[in-house]
Amino acid sequence: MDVLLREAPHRFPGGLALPAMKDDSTSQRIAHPDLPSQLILPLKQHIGSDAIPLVKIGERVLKGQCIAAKEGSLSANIHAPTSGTVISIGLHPIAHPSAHAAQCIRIIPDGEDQWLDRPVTKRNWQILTPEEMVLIIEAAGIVGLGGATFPSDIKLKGLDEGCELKTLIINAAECEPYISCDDMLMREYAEDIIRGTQILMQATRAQRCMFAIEDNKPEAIRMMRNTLGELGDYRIELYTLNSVYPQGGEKQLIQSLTGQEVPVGEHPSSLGLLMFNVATTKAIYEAIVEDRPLLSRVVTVTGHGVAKPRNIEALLGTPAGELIEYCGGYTDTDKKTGTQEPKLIMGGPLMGVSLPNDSVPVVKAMNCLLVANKQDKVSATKQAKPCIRCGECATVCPAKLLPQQLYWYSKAQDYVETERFNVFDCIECGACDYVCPSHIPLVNYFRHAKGEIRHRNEQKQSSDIARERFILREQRLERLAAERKAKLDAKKKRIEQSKLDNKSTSHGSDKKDAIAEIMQRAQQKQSGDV
Amino acid sequence: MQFKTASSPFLKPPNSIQKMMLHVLVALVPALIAYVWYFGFGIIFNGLLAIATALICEACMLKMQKKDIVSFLSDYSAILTAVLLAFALPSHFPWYATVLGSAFAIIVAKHLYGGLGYNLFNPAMAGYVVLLICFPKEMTQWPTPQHLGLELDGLTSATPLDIMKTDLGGMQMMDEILLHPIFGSLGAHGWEWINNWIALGGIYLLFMKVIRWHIPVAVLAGLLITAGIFNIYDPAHFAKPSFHLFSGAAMLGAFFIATDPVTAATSNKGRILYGLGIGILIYVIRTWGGYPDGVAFAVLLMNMCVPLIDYYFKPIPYGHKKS
Repeated sequence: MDVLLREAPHRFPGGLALPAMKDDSTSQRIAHPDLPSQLILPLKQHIGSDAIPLVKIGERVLKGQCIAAKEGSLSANIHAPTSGTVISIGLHPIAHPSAHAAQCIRIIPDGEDQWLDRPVTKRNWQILTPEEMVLIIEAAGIVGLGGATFPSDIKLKGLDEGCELKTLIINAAECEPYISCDDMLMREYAEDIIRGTQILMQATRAQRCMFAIEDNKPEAIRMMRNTLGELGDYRIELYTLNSVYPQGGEKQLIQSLTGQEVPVGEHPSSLGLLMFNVATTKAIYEAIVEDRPLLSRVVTVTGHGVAKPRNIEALLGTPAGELIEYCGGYTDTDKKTGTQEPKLIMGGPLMGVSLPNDSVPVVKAMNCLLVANKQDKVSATKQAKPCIRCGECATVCPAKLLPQQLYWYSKAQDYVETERFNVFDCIECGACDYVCPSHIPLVNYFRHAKGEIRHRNEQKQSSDIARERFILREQRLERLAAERKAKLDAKKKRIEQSKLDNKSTSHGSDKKDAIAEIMQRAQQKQSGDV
Repeated sequence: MQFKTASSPFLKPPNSIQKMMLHVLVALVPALIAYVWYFGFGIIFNGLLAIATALICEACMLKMQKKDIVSFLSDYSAILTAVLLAFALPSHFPWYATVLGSAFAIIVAKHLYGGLGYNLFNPAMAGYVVLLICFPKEMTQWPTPQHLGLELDGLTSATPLDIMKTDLGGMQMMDEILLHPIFGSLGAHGWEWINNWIALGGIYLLFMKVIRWHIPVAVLAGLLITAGIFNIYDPAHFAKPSFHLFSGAAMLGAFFIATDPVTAATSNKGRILYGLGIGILIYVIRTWGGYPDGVAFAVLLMNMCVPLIDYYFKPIPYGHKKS
């Protein structure tokens, strides 16, 4: 069966045509190195709250064992990538822009790679209900491997009963330069990926699937096409996309494939769509069919700062330095210059995270380790010039924003206007930065503005609450004062009334009697009420 | 191994202000050659004088603002302003006037508004207008175009637009006016060639994506359509659209002056409106205004409207469309 190769019918606005820089890392097959010297597993490798450790220091763990359990509604499990001993549960530097340390479980592998007890035969996934599938995916700790690390089970659960999912979209775009892990996965594991797609279609009850690959990956397209032809599933449609950055962004991909825009504040499910990254799809296949939780991921180690760039299937927790050593280490020029020029970037050159050293571990979000030096053109920009209002930033913005206006207003710290110009719709892709002739760090301004606005909103909220409490308190005090006054008035009235009564009945000596009566009553009150 | 950290994105932008300015200067070279061919070397002298003045003035202003002189001078924006001004001036212009015009453009029109990126008015046009008002006689003394094989008297003569305006004012009919030897097939001899070369330079800039098509097309369309309407209505008293397009500073204005990013509108729809406004105003000033060529004033008038245009023309961001 010859599979039809379709072109994506629409385009998203703006975008950049960038040099792919993927040749170096795609010339060899995915490598499977030996066990690393240690594994450092952060308790938070996903969106949501930290997982809670289930193991103690000194405990021996088996491969695939759940060593940290998800906590709360938005979280994910962490598993031991190989058998070994837990040597510490504490702070360790992690891959984060602020270079701060976070809670990690450190394991020393024992070299035996001993699995947890698990069934020998492959599971027959076709008899599973969607709910059962979601439970397995949840237990396996699967999160979005495209970089967002959103827990996949929650994404699937997010589909309400009434919400009819029309189309599943598999995102194999991989638009950012240098990154090629999804490309290699498709070349080598096409069948697993397609099975994973079918599993997801069953889990979501979708009737149709759009599998989208950028057209700069001809081998992957060929492989997927051939394998799809052999397996013969007419529901999975193969689409090629223009290789324009950021084609792989969720919103942009939806626009390219369907022409629709996800309404602001809503999810793709409101359009009847759900999107999964191709690596996540493969991980879901492994979890459901082979009962294998998320223990490793393919990482592209590339850049001119590394001697032999290639893709590696790395165990989660492998220190980045060891991966780079496996790839031939740092190129000589960088060793000579020491620390100045090269940058170690987790991710791509536009949206990646700059790391302070190579002791940070591989995490679920790490799709690429880019050791970038001068040849990769990542040198620091000199002083930014003033904005010359050329408008190129607005021309390339895939979200149709006005980066120029956002820049002027956030520079002036007018955050009301910045928010009004929809700064929160910015996906921080960096296209505007790339085209700015004045070399203004636009994305940094927007990030800062977002942080400031959030901070101010939080402050406003807490001051609003404080004000409400104050108003209620004032009202309460007023009410109490009024009550007290009313009581006092009533008492006065009573006394006057009784005076009047006495007056009307007798005069003179009755006065003395009245006084005596009052004094009696007062004495009673004193002795009685106290 | 330790690494220096930074915030994403990390790729060095390939474009720069310097590169853009260089492209524009390169695009002006063919027109410069045509100019020298027809009108002599005066423009080069004026140009060098204007450039020198501009650089010195800019250096002084930058020093007063305590900004980095080298980095701002090396972005060539002052040089471009001076060159565009030199293109607008007659070759025999007195040197002190050139210096005055260039100094005004840089000091008042550019730096007193805040420097690069902050000026409201196009500096070259502001400088030109000041000279037009202060030295009206000298500004009209254009040399006679050489190498045309025409029998023209005198060292200096009026420009074609000048002739057109005076003669129309003198109630002559278009056929009679066009008999004047200066008028060629499209515009006027000499002038139409310069405008052609400028248009070529403009197309080069479009190709190199230094400018976008919206403003030049809108300016020329505004001029063409307005001139066309009036020409069809009364061909005897209103010049042909082709004359307007290829005479004076129409092409220079469309491709080089109106496209100055700092003073033009920012959104594409806004740019079309901006360009149309310039085109229409050029025609209006040329036909009914007090000056033979209206490009400078048209540009300055539309510069004033840009904040308003920008306010009303904003794209609808992703996801905000009310379906």
